[in-house]
Amino acid sequence: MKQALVSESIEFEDPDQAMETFFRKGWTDGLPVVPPTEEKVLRFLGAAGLASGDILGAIPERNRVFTAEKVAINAVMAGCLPEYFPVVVAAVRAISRPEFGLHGVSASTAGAGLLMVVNGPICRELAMNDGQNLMAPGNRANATIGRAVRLVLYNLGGREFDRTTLGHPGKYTFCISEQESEWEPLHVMRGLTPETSAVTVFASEGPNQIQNHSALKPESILNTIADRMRALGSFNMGGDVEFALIICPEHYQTLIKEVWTKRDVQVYLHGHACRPVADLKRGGLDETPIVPEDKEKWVHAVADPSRILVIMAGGVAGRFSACMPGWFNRHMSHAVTEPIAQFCAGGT
Amino acid sequence: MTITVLTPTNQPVQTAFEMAPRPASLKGLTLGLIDNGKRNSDYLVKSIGRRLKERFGLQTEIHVKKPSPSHAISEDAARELAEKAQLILAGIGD
Repeated sequence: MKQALVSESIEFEDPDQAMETFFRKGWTDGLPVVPPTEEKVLRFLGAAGLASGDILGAIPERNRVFTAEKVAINAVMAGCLPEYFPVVVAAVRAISRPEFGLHGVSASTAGAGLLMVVNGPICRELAMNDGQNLMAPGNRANATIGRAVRLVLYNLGGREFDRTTLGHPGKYTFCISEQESEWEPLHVMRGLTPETSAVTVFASEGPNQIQNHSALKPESILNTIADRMRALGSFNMGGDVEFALIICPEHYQTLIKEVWTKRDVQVYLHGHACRPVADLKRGGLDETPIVPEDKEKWVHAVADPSRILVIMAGGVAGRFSACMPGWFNRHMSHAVTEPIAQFCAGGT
Repeated sequence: MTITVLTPTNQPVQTAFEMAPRPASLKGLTLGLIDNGKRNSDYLVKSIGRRLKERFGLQTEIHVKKPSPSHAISEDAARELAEKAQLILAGIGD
C-alpha cells in the first residue's frame, strides 16, 4: 500500500515555474534543484525502508525535527538517486547526535562545512569517488549526498540560523570516500568492522592543500603536514579540537614502503604539530605578556594522536595531501561515525 | 503539462508552555543567570546580575553554565531554574 505523505503539495504549470518558485522562496542552495514529486519521494523512502514519519534526527535547541519524508524531499532536490538515500539517512542521523553539536556547528560565524567520509562496501556499489579530483565536481554520488545534507540543514534546520562570516565551498557539498589500502579504514579505526558501510561526519574548515614533491622520507612528508597543522589562525592552536587529514596515494606509498601505519602517522603528527606558547602570545591568542619560559612550553594542534582522522584518498598522480582543521572545540562538536543501514526490498 | 511538487521545509515543533507571570516588581526576587560558556560570558552575566541586584533589590542569583554554547542547559539545571528563579537572563553572543 502506498505511504501517505503529509507535506503540502503545490501545483505548477511546468518544472521551470516550480524551479523559479523554489529559488524565490529560498528553498535551494542557489543552484537548480530537481522538483520533488511524490512519486520520487516515495521511491527514496522505499530504498531506505523508511516510513514517511520516521524521525531521523533533530536540532532540539531549535525545536526542529528531521522526518524521513522531509529528508527524502531534500535528497530528491539535491539530485540523489534512491540508492544514495541510505547514506544521506546515516549522515543526518550522525549530525543529529548530541556530541556533534549541530546547533552550534550550523549557526557559528566560523562557517564549518560538513565533511562526510564514506567507508565500506557501499562506496563501490554507489561508484563513489575516492580518487582523482576527490573533493571537486564530477561524481554524482559524492556531489549529491553532500548537497542533500546541506539542503536538509537549510530547509529543515532553519537557514536563518546560519551566521557564517565567510564559509567555504564545502558548504555546498563535502562528501568523499576513502580508498581501500593496506591501512586500516577510517570507520574501522573508529570501532566498526570492515564489512560495515559507514559515514563519518566532521565539522570542518575548508581543505588546506599540502604539496611535497621532493621528500623521500616519511618524516619529511609529515613535517610538511605538521607545519600546516600548526597555523595560528585555526581553532586547533590553543584548543582541544580534532583534525581531518587526507593522505594522497603518492605520499601514502612513501609511508607504507617504510611500514608506517595510520597510528604511526597520528603519533608523529601529534608530536610535531606544535608551537611554543610564545608564538600564541605573539598572535594574541593569549594576551598576557611573554615570559622567558613561554619559549619552552609547547602547545599541540591536537591534544591526543587519536584526534587526527587519517583518510587515504586522491588521484594516483601528484604529491598533494590536505588537512582540515576542526571547528571550535571538541566539547562542542566532535566527529561521529554512523553505520549505514542498507535495506533489501522484499528481504528480511 | 502541470507538475505537482512537495514543500521541502518544515516549521519548529510547537510545544505547549506557559510563560511565567510578569512580576510587578523585582524586589526580593531570585534571578537566574545562564552563562553559555563563550569567552568572558561568565564575567558579563555576573556583572549584569550584580547591577540588576543593586538597582532593583533582587534577593539572590542562581548561576547556570551551559555544557557548551552549542548545547542547551541540562534538565537538572532547567528544573532548578524553574523552581527557584522568577526571572532569567540568557542569550549571550560573541
